[in-house]
Parts: sequence; C-alpha cells; structure tokens
Amino acid sequence: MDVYELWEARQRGRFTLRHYVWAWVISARLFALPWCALYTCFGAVLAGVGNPAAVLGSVLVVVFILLASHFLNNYLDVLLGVDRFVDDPAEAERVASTLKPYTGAAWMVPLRITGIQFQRANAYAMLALSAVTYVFLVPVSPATLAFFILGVATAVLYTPFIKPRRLGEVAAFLGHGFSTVTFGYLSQSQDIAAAVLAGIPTGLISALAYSVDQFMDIRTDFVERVRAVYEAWFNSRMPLGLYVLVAVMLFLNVLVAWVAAGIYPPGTLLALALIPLIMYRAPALEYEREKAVRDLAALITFLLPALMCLGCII
Amino acid sequence: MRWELVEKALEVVRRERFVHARKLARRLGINTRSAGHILKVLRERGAITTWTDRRGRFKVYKVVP
Repeated sequence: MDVYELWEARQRGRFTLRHYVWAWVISARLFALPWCALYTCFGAVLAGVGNPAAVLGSVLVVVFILLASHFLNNYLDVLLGVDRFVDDPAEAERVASTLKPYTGAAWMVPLRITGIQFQRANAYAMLALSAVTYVFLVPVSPATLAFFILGVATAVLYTPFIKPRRLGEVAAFLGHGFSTVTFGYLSQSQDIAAAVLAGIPTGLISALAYSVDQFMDIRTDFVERVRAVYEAWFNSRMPLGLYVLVAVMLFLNVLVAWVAAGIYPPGTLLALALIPLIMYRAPALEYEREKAVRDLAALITFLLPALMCLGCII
Repeated sequence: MRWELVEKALEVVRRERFVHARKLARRLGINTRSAGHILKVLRERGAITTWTDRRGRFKVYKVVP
C-alpha cells in the first residue's frame, strides 16, 4: 500500500486499522533501521561482545531514537513551513517535498493522511521507549549516557534547528554513523577514545549519503530551502553519479587508513567488495535515477554496514 | 514564528469550523494582533483558507477539514 492509496482511503472516509498500520509503517521510514542497527552491532562487535543483552539494548535504543526522529520530522516540516497542507497528490508534487523512491513519509501530514497528533504521539512514545530500554538493558555510565543524550538531541533538534541551518550532514554524521557505532562500542567497553575513533568513518559515509538524499529535493524545488554539502561545494555542476563515486572512494580510503592504524580489524576491508557494485550502479544515476538511488541506498544503508559487521566477526 | 506556537494554534483551530483573530486570541490567551499574525502563518501552511475579508473587521478563515 502506498501514499496514494492511503490518501484515497482517507478521502473516501474508509480509513481502517489496516490503513493506520500502513500509515505507521510509511511514517516510520523502516528502510533506515538496518543502517543504524547494523552500525550499532558493528560497534559492539568491534569492542568484543561480552554482554549480548547490552548489544540488544543498544540496538533497540538506537532504533527507537531513529524512529522518533522520523516521526518528529514528518510533522515538524509542516509546522516550520518547509512543507504545507495540500488538497491532493498533484498539488503535493508541486509544493511539498519530493517523494523518494524508498519512502513516501514526507507526504503523510501534508496530505492529511495522518494528523499531527498521530505523528507526535508516536515520536514521544519512541523517545520514552528508548529511555526505558536504555535504563534497563544498557549499562548506565557517564559515557553511554553522554552518547544517549547526543542521539536524542540529534533526533529532536534535526528538523527545527539543524536542518534550517543547512547542517543536515552534521546530523547524519552524528546520528546515523558516529553515535550509533560509538554507543554500540561503549555498551561493551569503556574505552571512550577507541569508541570515538571507531565512529568517524561510518559517520563520514552516512553524511555523504545524506547529500545524495537531499540532492533530489534540491533538484526539484528547494535550492534555497535545503542546501546540502553537494550543492554548496559543487553548485550542482558535478554529476550525481560522479559525486557518489568520489564519496565512496573517500570513505574507502579512510577505512583503509583506519585498518592500517589498527583501529579497525583487517576483516572490515570486506567493505571493499562494494566497489564493483558502486561502480555499476553510480553511473546509472544519470539515466535511471529512481532505480539507481534505490539500489545505492540499499548498498550504503544495508550492505555496507552488514559487510563491516561480518568482516569484524571473521 | 516559533513552531510550538503554530502547533498550539493548529490544535485550537482544528476544533473549529471557522476562526478569526479574536476567537484564537481568547483560546490562546494572547492579543488579537499576534493572533492575526498566527492565522496568516496558518493560511500559508494550508491549514485554513480565507472565508470573508471584511473591511475594518477581523478576517474570517475557514478551517480546511
């Protein structure tokens, strides 16, 4: 079920429980869960798993905070004037955020499929669940508490504070790649310096992936509204496919440097297996953008963290 | 405009079919000048539409269901 079907059901007044479930699934943007969950696992595996319950706890905490940030983003965009209420999908295509190939969450509130209350209640519920999970499953220490607060702050401040200041990449760095790995690491070990260093390369690739996501908004209508690093640095003259290649190569260089420095184990070089796939799909951004974006999102948000986890285990 | 204020105003407006600055000002406990400004913002967000624009009196807005 997609956004259009949900909108039609709402218009006909036949919005059943099944529709609410799908509205929740779309609003939650579940595609990003493996991204954060696997990076948290990677951090824990990197530190050496001694407390499996803490690994599960840290993954759950990260997932709940991520979901909270998604629900907050869905309705705060409208309140802040980034998006607005519209009457039909045709108007949404003109004035609301661009639908991404992997999620239609940006239209849930503008099309009045779900109310602001629905999104807000879910966001607060997720934040509460993350706090409860943190207290009961993760070893509470000043270090884990600091990164828990960092995660919550990033999730809460992303839409009203970070995004309007064009610092979305910083939020993606902190929220998706850096604090996840660091939090997972600190759930198993108290070595803060090693935990912080471990989070830097993953934060880097997450921030660069965010630029590609935002590029689609910039291209359509929001040059002034959402400027990403890509737009700021290259003024959109660099082809997106080339940008992806440059970004991934930069990340892989950092990864190799981290392995050479002994911060990551050699097994994480398994991530280099991604090169042929990236080289195959990145140029496709120029002629079949939607499909290529979906494939690259799967590679960066699922396959890369999975390979790094696997490499760390073996 | 602070988004918390817009959120609060939206909650009030959602319970009405029509709204003008005095009604919103009473509900939120603010002055009508500020309420008028908030209504303008809500109109820009698409939550309400202008119903009647009366010279020298408060504009009446219709809440979009």
